[in-house]
Amino acid sequence: MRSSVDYIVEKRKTAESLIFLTGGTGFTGSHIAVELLKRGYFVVLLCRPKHNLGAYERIQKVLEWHGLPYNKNFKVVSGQVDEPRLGLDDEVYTYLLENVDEIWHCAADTSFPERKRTQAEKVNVQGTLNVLRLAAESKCYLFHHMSSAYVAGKVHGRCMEKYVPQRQFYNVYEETKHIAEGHVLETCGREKIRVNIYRPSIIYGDSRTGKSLSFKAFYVPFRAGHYLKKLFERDIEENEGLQAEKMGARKTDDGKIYMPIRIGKIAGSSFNLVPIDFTVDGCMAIMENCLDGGIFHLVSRKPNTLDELILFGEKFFNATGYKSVLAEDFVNQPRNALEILFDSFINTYEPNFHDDRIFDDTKAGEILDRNNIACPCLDYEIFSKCIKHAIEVDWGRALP
Amino acid sequence: MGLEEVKNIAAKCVHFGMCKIDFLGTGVCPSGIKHKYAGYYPQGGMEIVNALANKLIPVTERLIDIARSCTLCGICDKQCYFVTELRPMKVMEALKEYVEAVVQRNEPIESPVEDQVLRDLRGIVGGEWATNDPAILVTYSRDISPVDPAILVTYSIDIRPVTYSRDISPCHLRHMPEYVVMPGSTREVAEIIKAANKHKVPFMPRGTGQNSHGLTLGEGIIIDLSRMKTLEVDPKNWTATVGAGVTSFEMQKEANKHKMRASVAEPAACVCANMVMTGIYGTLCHAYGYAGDNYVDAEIVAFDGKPFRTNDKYAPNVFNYSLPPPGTLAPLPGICTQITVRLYPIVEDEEGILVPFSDLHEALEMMREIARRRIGLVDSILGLEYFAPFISPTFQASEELRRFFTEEMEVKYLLMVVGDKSTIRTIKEMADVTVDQEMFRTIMLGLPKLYSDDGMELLCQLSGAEKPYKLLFKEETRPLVEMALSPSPENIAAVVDKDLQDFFKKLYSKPEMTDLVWLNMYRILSSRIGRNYAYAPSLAFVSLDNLDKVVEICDMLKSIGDKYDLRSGLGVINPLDFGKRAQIEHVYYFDQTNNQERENAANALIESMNKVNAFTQEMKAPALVSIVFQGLCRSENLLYT
Repeated sequence: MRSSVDYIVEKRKTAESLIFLTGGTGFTGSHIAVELLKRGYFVVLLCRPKHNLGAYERIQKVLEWHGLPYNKNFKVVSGQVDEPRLGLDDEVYTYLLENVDEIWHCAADTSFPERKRTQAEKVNVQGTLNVLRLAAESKCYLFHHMSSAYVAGKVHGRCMEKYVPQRQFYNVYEETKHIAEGHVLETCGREKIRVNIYRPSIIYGDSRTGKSLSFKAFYVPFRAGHYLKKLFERDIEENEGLQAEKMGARKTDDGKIYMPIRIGKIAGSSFNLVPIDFTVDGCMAIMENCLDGGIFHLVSRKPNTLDELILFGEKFFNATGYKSVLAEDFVNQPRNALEILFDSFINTYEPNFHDDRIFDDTKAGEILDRNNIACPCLDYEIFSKCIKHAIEVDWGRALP
Repeated sequence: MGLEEVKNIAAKCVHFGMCKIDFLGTGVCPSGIKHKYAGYYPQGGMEIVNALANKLIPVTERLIDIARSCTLCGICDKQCYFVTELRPMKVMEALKEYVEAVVQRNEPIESPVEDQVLRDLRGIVGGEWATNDPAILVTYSRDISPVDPAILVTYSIDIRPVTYSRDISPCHLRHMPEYVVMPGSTREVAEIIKAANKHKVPFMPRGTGQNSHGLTLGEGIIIDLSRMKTLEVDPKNWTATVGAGVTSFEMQKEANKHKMRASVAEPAACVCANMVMTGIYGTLCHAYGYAGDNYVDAEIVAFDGKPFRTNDKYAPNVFNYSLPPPGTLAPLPGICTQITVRLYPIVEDEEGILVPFSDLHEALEMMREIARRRIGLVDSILGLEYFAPFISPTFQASEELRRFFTEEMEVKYLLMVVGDKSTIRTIKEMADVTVDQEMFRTIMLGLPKLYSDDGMELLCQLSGAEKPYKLLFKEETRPLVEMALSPSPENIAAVVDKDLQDFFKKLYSKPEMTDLVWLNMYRILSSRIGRNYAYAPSLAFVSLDNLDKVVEICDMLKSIGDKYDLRSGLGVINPLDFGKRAQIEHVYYFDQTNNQERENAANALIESMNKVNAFTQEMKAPALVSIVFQGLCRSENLLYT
């Protein structure tokens, strides 16, 4: 290995070690960055300019959202992972080559559909290779790679905290993250760089505050439900519900909006959902307690069922009509318009809706238990906190 | 407001000439209608202010008359805003103020001296219809072309070569003529040509001067044919005979009264000029043919002043096509003063439909298939650079729509088909998803909500593995889209300037404003091509045998735009001759007030012409530049020679 454990511990103590972090404006990446800054690390954040905002402004906005007090312990460099040498100026790249101690690679493309393959490969595979090149050419001694529990691919049952070569996947996200893990292990092994791979399941907002920066994945069906309900309410109020009726929606006697939506499921399937606060706490505990490197599942030990989530949604939105059914049900009664909509979405997140993968977390559990970190189960209280916040910020549209 | 304040508005006029036709039912500028010269229309007013601000012309008696004849009625604001979002009223107000101040201060007012040429011209057409007043001349001195045609060709009209000035005034390609004359008959045209020959003065004919490639500019006499407004429909023989000053819009309107229509070019363009220039190409060419297919006889005055009809047995042959030597244009056969065009009956159950695509090859396949089956009246692929501005009432709305279509919905091309009910049924069977007439109206009248409503973006996100547009335009999701967009004239009118909202509300309440059949027939929306930029369309005829090659040409045209740092994109592809050939229009946009951009556009245009030539020779189809002035030839000669 490039450095001894003792050296790393000592270096971190001096607060002189330089951490290079990618994906600093992303959901997970920004939470990790903020936590590192809070813990006194000096962080160099890679960020690309976007929507007429420069890299620094974008990072500043995100740090403001996190409520991070004035902090001088970071530097922003303008570039992007999918470009050679990360799109950085020679001077900046050389600075990183000479000074980087650890790298946190959080940048990722979270697109699932096949038609987004080029984009996903560009960021998740080529981007990772570009960051690994920096790691290899610099004096970096510890590489932290944010991965996903779903790199396990198309398997059933128990998935272990190790790299298992796999060829079949449910979507391009899983596939490209799996390929990226392979590259990380290969490069770090060859270059004698220690490596931690963090594999969270589906991440949602903060379980304590409900706050979130991203409203994709877990949020999308609820956002859709919320939107449809508003549309139907407006149609019922202004147009006697004529259009709503065409889609089978109406107002029930007890004032609820009835939306006939059946969602297909597989018996015994569940959703593995983890809040961002748990994910960050888990990552930090592993970072600080495991310098030898390893692969860690950051998952819920009590996944939610589809029926539970439907109940939460109906209760929160004062809606009715959703139900989970087995696939055979659609044979007897073909899908209605609303179901076609939901089905289209569900097809993308197929593995999440029909998941029977169980993620073994022995290795992560050992560290988390020791640090009293446990994944809270998503109950109605947390759910409503998260959805309430989502509505407050208009599902992210009202965020700065 | 002073001239300085409004000169930026004035400089943006792209001379589309929509202020010369009554396309919105508002009437037309009363001053323009009365005095006829381009200078009296809002387009001319803009040009005059621009020239005054750049100190190119003095204040003359005619200029005072122009300023005073404007009643500030506001028609131009409505018309011009619809097309370009410009407000010519402010410019006219400033012009009036400026002129009155000059008069008040007793500053010298110039009155150009009548010379022998002008005397002769006035002897032919009458004192009112020939002038050498700079205020009029300057309104005939410019178009938006970034390319001086002298770069392309030195065109001789066999008296003396036209010499093009290289002195390009700030932000303009300008060729200041010496005289403008407005003949009222073929006989007068012939006399004018003889007079010009006698005095050895070059001349250049023009219709409404809508040409965007500098081809109606010249430094001798400009023969403005727009007084020649004879228009007669022969319903028994399905023809219309039109004078050189009749616009496509006017002819179409008249034909419609007889439940007929013609294949037309841009609404403000004159039919005769269009036919001679390149032939009328557009979305209706699929059914109605191209070039010689569209007329049965034409009256032309040759450059020796002798008129002939194309059908005369011993008339000069205008039906053949010859490829001019590289870098040159074919000679103009003369001045077309009247043409008899074909009309086609309108059938009762015509409708429009759009088929969205994210892949050009797929769109081309379907377009070709429809052309081969010989169904429909329109079968054209529209790029988003055309579609978005065409259906959006403002530039911002157009940009948002374009973003929403490309980024959220993943739609890059729309195949537009117009046909009878059985055609529409066939298209629905052929395509995965379609935007039928009803949905098109929903999109257009719900426009701002399409791109600003949270839900539409969300619906796109729901699309999962399928392309979002396939979900959004599914038959089953239609009620949802209708609910989300809640289409209404109020909705679309909300995006325009506050003081025009009532007008736009009424305008969009008219069914034709959202009717694909009507919109294709009159081509009203395509005038928005130059809403925010000047445009330089690059054109190519291609064979549809090898679609990969067609895609390659489109990519090549785009890459030239990228190379010169220009905004550019596919405008339209129209199939010709039942799918054997097609015509591609790719457009380069530039800021005409920015010299660097104009130069880049010129370079892009010339490079694209050269490259298209190389490609199309290989494919045995001519580049469109070589067709200029050969629009009267047989389409077979043109497409297969």
